[in-house]
Amino acid sequence: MRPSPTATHQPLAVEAELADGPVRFVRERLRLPLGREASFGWLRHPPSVMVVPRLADGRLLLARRWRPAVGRWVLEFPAGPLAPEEAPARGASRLLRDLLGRGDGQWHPLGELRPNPGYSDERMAIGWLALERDAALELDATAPTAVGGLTPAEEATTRRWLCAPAALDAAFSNLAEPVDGRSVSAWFLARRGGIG
Amino acid sequence: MAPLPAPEPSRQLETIAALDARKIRFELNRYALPSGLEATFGVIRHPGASLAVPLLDDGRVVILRQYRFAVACRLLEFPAGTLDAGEDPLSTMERELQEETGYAANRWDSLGALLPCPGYSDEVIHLFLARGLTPLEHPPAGDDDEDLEVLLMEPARLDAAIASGDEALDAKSVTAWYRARQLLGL
Repeated sequence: MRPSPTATHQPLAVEAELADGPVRFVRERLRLPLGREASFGWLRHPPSVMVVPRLADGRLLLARRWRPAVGRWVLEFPAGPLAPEEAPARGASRLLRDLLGRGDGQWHPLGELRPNPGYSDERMAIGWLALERDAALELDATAPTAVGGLTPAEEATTRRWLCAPAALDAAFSNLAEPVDGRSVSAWFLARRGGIG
Repeated sequence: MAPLPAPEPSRQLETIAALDARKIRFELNRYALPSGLEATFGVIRHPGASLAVPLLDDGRVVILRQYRFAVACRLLEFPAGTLDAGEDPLSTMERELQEETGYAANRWDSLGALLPCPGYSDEVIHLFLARGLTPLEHPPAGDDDEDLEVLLMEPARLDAAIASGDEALDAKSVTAWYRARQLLGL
């Protein structure tokens, strides 16, 4: 018999865990709604935010991040864990200040993603942000960010990337390159949500 | 478009700690980054997976409402599954499509690949569009921990569900749908 739509699993026992900063990997015994008991490995991750930042001229700000887990540069919108009690709009502005030196602008919420529901509890708020006009905002996409907001490891693995919406669609349509699922989803939501 | 930075591979120096679980392994690894800086990253080792956007001849998509313990809710997701050792992604998907939806497909197109969480997982999900669907008289049994319901949905209704803000959205399914819409010219 199918369980009720509101039935959830029951945690039984944590068998082992390993922490990495704010993230914990846990191996835990669970009873699922259908009644089966089994041991699962999953990541306990703080809530996070991803922001689609639009400049006044319509271009979008992304970053190429060197990702050791996959051994390649990946094109991504700015994203990161939220601090305790931090609202997504505030977190998005903080991430942009770290990457760009400025982050003020109107926040437009677009929804909430589960980036990895098979083995992570992460909930990622998505929104787009219209960066306020700033004549001094001249960005060299390949230069180090050099605004002081990133840790040395982040600085070494981050390159800013600016593009027009059509160029981003072209990049995300390139079947030869694995895409960041969170960023493509955020872009799809932004397109549907009126970013233009 | 700005050129990509030159490839400068990071080098894994050591695994500080590791924890094995069913199908996946979590490692705390020390890396030498392209700049020469050293840093520690937590990484999930995953065998990879396949996902299909199944499209009926009448234009409706086949999609699942599936319970996911990690997020404690029932997500709208396309059928997908983890690769068995040595299995090629299309074979995985042919098997999973039959087990999870009760349909077989005779036309497959690649929709490329996505990285669900490149910051902390090495998982690659291979994406496909499955067409020429026929319902199976005797669908094979799926995994006994899969708790799912098969839905048939008009593309416009799926678009509306994604844009509504009322659904907790599965990122791999939204990305696969973006790619499928492009290929289909929707």
